[in-house]
Amino acid sequence: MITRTARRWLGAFTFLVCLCAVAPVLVIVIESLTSANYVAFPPPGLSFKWYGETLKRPEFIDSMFVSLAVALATSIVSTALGTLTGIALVRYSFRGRGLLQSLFSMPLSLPGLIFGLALLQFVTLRNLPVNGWTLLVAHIIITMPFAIRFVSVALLGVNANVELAARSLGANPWAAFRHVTFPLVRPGMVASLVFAFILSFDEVAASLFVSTPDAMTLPVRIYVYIDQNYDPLITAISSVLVFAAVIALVIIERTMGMGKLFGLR
Amino acid sequence: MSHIELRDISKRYGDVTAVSHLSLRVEQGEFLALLGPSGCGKTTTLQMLAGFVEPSDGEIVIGERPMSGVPSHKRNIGVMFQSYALFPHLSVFDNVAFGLKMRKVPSDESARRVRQALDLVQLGTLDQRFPRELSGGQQQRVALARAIVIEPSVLLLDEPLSNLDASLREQMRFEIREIQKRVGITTVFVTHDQSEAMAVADRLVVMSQGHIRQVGTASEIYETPADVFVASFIGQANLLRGQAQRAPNGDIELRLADGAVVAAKYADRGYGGGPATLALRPEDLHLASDARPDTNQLPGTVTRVNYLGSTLNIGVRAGDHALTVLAPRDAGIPAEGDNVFVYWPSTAGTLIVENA
Repeated sequence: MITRTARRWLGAFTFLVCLCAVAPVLVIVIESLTSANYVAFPPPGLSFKWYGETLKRPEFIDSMFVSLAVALATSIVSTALGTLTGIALVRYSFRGRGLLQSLFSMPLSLPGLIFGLALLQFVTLRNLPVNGWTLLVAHIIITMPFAIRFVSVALLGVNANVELAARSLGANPWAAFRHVTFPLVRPGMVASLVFAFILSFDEVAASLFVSTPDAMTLPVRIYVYIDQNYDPLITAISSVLVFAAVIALVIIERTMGMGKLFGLR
Repeated sequence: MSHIELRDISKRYGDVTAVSHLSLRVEQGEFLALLGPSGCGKTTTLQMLAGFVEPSDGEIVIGERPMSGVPSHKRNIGVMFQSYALFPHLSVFDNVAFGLKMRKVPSDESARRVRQALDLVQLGTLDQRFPRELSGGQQQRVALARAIVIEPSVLLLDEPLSNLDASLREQMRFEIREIQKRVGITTVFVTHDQSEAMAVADRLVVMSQGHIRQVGTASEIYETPADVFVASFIGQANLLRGQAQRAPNGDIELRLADGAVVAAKYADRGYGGGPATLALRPEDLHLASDARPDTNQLPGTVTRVNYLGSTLNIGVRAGDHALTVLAPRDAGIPAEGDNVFVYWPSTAGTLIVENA
């Protein structure tokens, strides 16, 4: 039994934690509205001029498109592969299933930097070109464990007998998938699409290694820029990324509910 | 030829044998119950009939068609599950119409048949609801409608009533039986509840540990259980173990461990004797305060008296045996600790001999 005072303390503590997590991002968003030519908090004056500045930089616009394209492709491929894998791992039992499950989860435990470096070495040592495709492969590998997880969770929420019922009523395996399994895991697939998109868009560590001047994602571009310059341009671009992420999360909440993704509901 | 034949079916999962050398015949239109405790293999047998699981050995024939290699969706069966397994994303109407849709039945004929099936289970007004809006009993009726609307050759019911509360269970078991009789579909019904099986089935198959112990009508199984397992699984049984021998006058005598001797009947005239168990139903036994030497009797002490309204359930300790006696309430109510005689006619009960 949690007493009312304990609940209030818990609420205050939770609020503090959220504040600490969100505050730095809020600061950046506020800084992006500055009228000055230097980064300051609080900003001396408010202006949207730095958002306008971002449009004048072709390399950033370029990277925005690269990020969008890679994120879109990643989310689609990752979700497709993740769905097939998720269904196989949940609905079928076979020898080596546990091993495969661990194998598919491994990208989660691999630091992005190490993975990026390893992928770079792998590709160059075989005299393969490093380009947008390498970037795509890296992002797919990184996001797949999540795609598998989301689809698996959705599938586990479905009574396994439902598929047997469909079969007994005359549905062949493909018809059973199309009419029964797919509609029921669709929320998981949508969540996977959105989550993989966000993950890919924000990915920095591995992308640092496999990005090239022609195929450089936005976060990597920002990172490189900060190395040389420090002006409010970067805060404006970062804020755009934050807004995009917020929109994506709202979509997930509406289609599947964030709590369910993490097994809370 | 029988409608369904299982010929020497076995199912193994690695080292575990779920079903062992099972042979069974089901006649057209029959309502057969597979009955037994958890793990006896009844559900596995049903799954093999449905095609969800392939037998390790043996053959299944339905309607003179061998079923090996035939997937579920080609077997023309209807299945009901313990968890109902309704499609949560479809309305009641679409749930019931699903099988017809898979068979490409034109939509107007499909609609007519769906309405007919829903009327049969008395859910005609709820066709636009979704499964989550229905009670357990209503969901189970939708599941029944869904299974029979496709006019399958066989109906397979996997403990369909186990998730319902007791009164609904009793009501639904008779409804299912009514509908089955009306439509005439061969039905195999799996349950662990012996009173349920006895109430509705034409024949019962009592199973344990992957084997069939006995097949018969409810009265055959109750009156003449084939072995000790069946005797104690169905109803209550008082089991008196001992050595049987043939008395000089030709009757069988059972010498119990504590020395008491009781008379029993055994059909096989050629039986000479050996270890055996006399299985007596509680209602076969009677209590008396004085000895009844002209019948079988055992002296004992009353250990408990349960007043059940119409009957009394009385526990008696007689020597090594803990007996249960079901007495009518007008026979007088004994008290705990009373010394009584438990007696029964030699025609009562079944002598179960141990195979040599």
